[in-house]
Amino acid sequence: MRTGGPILTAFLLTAALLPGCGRKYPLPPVGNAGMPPESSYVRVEGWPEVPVAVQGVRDLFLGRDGFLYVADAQGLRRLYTNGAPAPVTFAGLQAPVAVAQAPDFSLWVVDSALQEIHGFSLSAEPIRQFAIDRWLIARVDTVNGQPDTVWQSIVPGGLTVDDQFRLYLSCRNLDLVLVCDTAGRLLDTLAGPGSGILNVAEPRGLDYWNGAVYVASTGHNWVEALSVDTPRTNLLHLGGTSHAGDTAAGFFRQPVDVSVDTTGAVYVADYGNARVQKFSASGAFIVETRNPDDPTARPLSCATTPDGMTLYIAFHSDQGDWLEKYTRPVRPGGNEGGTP
Amino acid sequence: MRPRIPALLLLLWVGLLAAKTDITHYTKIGNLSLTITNFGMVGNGFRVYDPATGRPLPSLEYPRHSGTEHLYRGGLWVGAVNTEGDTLVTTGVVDATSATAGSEGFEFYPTPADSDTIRIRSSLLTSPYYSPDAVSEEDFLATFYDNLQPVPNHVPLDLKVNLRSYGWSYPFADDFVILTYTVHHIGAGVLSDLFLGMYAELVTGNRDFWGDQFGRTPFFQHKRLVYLDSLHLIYERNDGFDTVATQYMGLKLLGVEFNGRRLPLDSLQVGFHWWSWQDMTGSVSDLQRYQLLSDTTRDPDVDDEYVAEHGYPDPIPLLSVGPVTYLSPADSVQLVVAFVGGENLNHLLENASWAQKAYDAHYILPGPPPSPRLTVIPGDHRAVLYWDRSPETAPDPSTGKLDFEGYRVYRRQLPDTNWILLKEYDRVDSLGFNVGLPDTVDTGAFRGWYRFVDEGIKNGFVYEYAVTAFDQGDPTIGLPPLESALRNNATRVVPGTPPTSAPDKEIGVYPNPYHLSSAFDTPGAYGRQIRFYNLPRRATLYIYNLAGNLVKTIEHDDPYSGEEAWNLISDRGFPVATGLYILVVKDHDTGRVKRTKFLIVK
Repeated sequence: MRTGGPILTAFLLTAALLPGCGRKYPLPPVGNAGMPPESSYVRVEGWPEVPVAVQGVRDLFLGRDGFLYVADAQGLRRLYTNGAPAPVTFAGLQAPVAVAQAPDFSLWVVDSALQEIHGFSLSAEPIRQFAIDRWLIARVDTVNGQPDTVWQSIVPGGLTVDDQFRLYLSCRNLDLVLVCDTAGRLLDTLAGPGSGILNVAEPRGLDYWNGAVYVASTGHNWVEALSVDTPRTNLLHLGGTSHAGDTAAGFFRQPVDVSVDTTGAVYVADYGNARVQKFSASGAFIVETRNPDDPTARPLSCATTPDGMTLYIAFHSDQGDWLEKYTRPVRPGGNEGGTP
Repeated sequence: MRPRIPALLLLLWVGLLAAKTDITHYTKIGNLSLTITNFGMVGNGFRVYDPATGRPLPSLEYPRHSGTEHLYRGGLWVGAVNTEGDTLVTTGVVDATSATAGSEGFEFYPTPADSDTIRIRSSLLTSPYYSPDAVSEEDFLATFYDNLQPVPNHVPLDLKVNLRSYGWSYPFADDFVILTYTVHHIGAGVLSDLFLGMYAELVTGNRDFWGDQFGRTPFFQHKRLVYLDSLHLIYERNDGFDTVATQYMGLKLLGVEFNGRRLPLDSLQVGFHWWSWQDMTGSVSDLQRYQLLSDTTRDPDVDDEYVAEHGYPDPIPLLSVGPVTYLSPADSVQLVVAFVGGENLNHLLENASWAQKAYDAHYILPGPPPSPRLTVIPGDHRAVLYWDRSPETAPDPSTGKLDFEGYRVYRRQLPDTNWILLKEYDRVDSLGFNVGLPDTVDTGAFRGWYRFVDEGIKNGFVYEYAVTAFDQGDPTIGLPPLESALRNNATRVVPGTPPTSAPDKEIGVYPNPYHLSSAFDTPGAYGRQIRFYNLPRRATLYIYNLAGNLVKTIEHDDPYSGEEAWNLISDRGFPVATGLYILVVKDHDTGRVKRTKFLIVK
C-alpha cells in the first residue's frame, strides 16, 4: 500500500506543472471556448448612403463623438455614420496616418509628412500641434568641429489616447510605442523592440481599453494588450507562439489594425489573411469577417461601435480602396446572448 | 372651420398618465398667469378647468384676473443632425389636427417618478415654497425627455431638458415671465448644427368679450403679429375687434448659453417664421421643421397692411436661434426666452427691456428693502403698531447700496380688499416728502422699534395692518422707488376693550340683542358673531340657556385684548336657538365671577 504514495505524488506534481512547462506565451484557445456561436458579420448593402471615395486609407476610426473618421491621401475627413461627409475641415494636415479622440472629444492626428501630432477641438479648430521628430536623437555628428544633433524621424503607424489624456504613438521604423502628453512631452516607452510579448515589431494600429493599449504588432504577426501602468504586463496576447503567422483562425498574417469594443472584444484587421477576426476579451476566437464579393480584399483598418454590433472596414484590392459597413446578425427572438 | 378639437388635450393627458404630466400649475406672483407644464408645453390650449370651481385655468392671462388670454399654447423645438447623418427635430408642441395624431408632435415627457412634476421654489421668506436656491420670487422647475416613450413618426434626439421659469412681483418686473430651457444630449456621440426654437401661438382675446365663442374659430381670426429684429421680440395684439383685450403680448429671446457661457446673439442666427395654422402638423417631416429652425431669413409681419393685401393667414410664429455647432453628452445648451405683457406697445417695450436687464444681471434684480417685523396690538377703538428698523440696514441685492428711504403704514377693514395708506415716513434727504422717520420706543418689549397708533377704529371688526419699506429707486435707469409687499407682514387684529379684572367693570355683550346678519357677521354658517368685552386677561366663559344647560365654554387668555367672539355654535356643534342666555365669566387671576345676560333673535 505504501508503494503507491511516491507514484501518486509524482503524478500529481506532473499534472500540476506540466501544462505550464515550456509555455512561453498564452496559446490561442481552441474552438469557441464555450461561447455561443456567432455568425460572421453581414455587410450592410447600400452603405454608404452617400458615396464616399477614399484612396490610400491609413486609418478608419469611430470616435467617442459618434462620427466616423477617415485618414487617407485626401486628408482627414469626418463622416456621419451613413457615410455622408460632415461639413468640417481639418486644416494644416498633409499626410494624416492615424487619429484618436480624447475623453473631452478633442481629436489628435499624427501626420507622417509633417512629423507632427495635431490636436483639434470638436469643432475642428486647431488647439495644439507639436513635433514628434524632436523626441529621439538618431546620432550626433561633428560638423566643422562642432557637435550636430541628428534627430530621429518617425514613421508613425497608429495613435490612441487613454482616459488620462496620454497619447500612444506606434513607430513602425523603430519598433516602439511611445507615450506623450497632449502638450507634446515625451513621457515613456510603452513597448520596444524584441521578440517577446512585451515587445513589438513594426507596430501599427493601436486602441485603448480599460487600462491597456492594444497593439497590432505587424512584424510579429501578433496583437498584444499592454498595461499602461507600470510594471508593464501583457494583459492579452493573440496570434500564437511564433512570429511566422498563420492562416488558421486565431492567427494573423500582417495584422495592421485593432479595435476594441466596450466589452473588451477585440477586432483585428488581418491584412495578409484578408479578414477581420473577432476575439473575446479573454482572447477566444469568435468569428471572422471577409468581403463577400472579393475574399481577397484586404482590410486596411477597422473600427467597431461601442456595442460591437457594427464594424466599419476599409478594404484594399487591385481595384483601389473602399469602405464597408457590417452588422452582427441577430437571431430571431433576440441576439446571441450579447457580445461575449 | 378651424378644427380646434376639445378632446385633443384630454386624450393626450390620458395617454400620458403613466408619466404624471402636470398642466395645473400657472404663475401667480406677477401680472402674468402662464401655465407651465412638465412636458415641454406652456399654455393650456384654453381647455383646462379648475375641478374645484369649474372655472377655466389661465393659459397666459394678462393682466392677471382680467380674463384676457394671449397664448393658445407654446413649446420648445430642438433640431439637430445626429452622427448617423439624420436631421431630426423634437417638438414640445405642434399644430395638432386630430386626436389620433395628438401625441405626434408632443414629444417631451417626464419620467414616471413622483418627483418629476412641477416643483416650486421661492426666494420669499414668507412663502411656503421658500428655498435659498430660488432664483426668483416664483421659480417653477420641471424636467422632461424626448426618448422615454415611443411617439409615432418620431426619432428622438435623446434629449433631457431642464425647464426653469422665473417670476417676480416687483412693479418693474411683474409683467414678464422668464423661461430657461437647458438642453442636454443623453445619447451616444454628439449632435451637430443644433437649433433651438420657441413655438408660441400668440392670440389675444378676452373670455368675457367672446363668451361661448372664446377659443373657437372666429376667435383666432384677429391676430396681428410683428417681429422686431433688433430686440429679438415677437409681439401680438388683437386687430381691434375685441374691444376689451387691448393689451400686447410678446415673446422675446433673451439669450443662449453653452455650458453656462453666454453666447453673443449676434454670433448666432436668429430667425422669425410663421405659417398658417395646420401647416405644421405632426405629418410634417423633421427636415422641413429643421429648415424652418435653421432658416436665417425672416418672414413678413402680419400687420393690417399685410392682411389687407394677402388676406388673413392665421399665423403661428416660431422664434429660432442657432446653430450650436456640437452638443456632446458633456455639454449643455440653454435657451432663455420671456413672455412679456404690456398695456400698449411702449409699455411692452419697457417691460421687454426689463426682462432683458433681468437676464443680463443674472436674475439679480434691484429689490425693495425687506419688510420690517411688525406687531399690532389691538386696543379699545385703536390699534398700536410696532415695527423694527431692519429694512434700514439691508443693502439692495443688485447694487449693494443701502438705499432705504422710508416706511408706509396701511390698513384695511376686512372683507374690503382695498388698502388705505395711513401714513408715510421718509428720511430727510433730497428725495420724497422729507417728513422724517417716526420716534422709537424707549422702554419695554419694543424698545428701539417704531410706534404708530391708529385711533378711532371700531371695536369688534377685523382690521388688517401692514407696514412696508421703500427704497430710493434709481432715476438713472428709470427705476422707481421699490416697495416691499404688503402681504409680507400683514397682520389681522380685532380692536376691543383691553383685559380688565376691575370689580367695577361690568362684562358687556354686543350686539345685544343679536339679530341675524348683524354688521359683525361674515358670510357663511360659521360667520355669525356675538362679542363679549371687558373680559379679564385669563378667564373661562360659560354660556347657559334659560333652562340652565351649559351651551358653550370658551377659554380666554390674551394679554392685549379683553374681548372674545362666539360664533353661536354650541359645544355639541349645533347652532343655538333664539332665546335668552346667561354668560358667566370666571376670572382665573382673582377668582371673581361676573355675570350678564344677552338675547339671540334668529
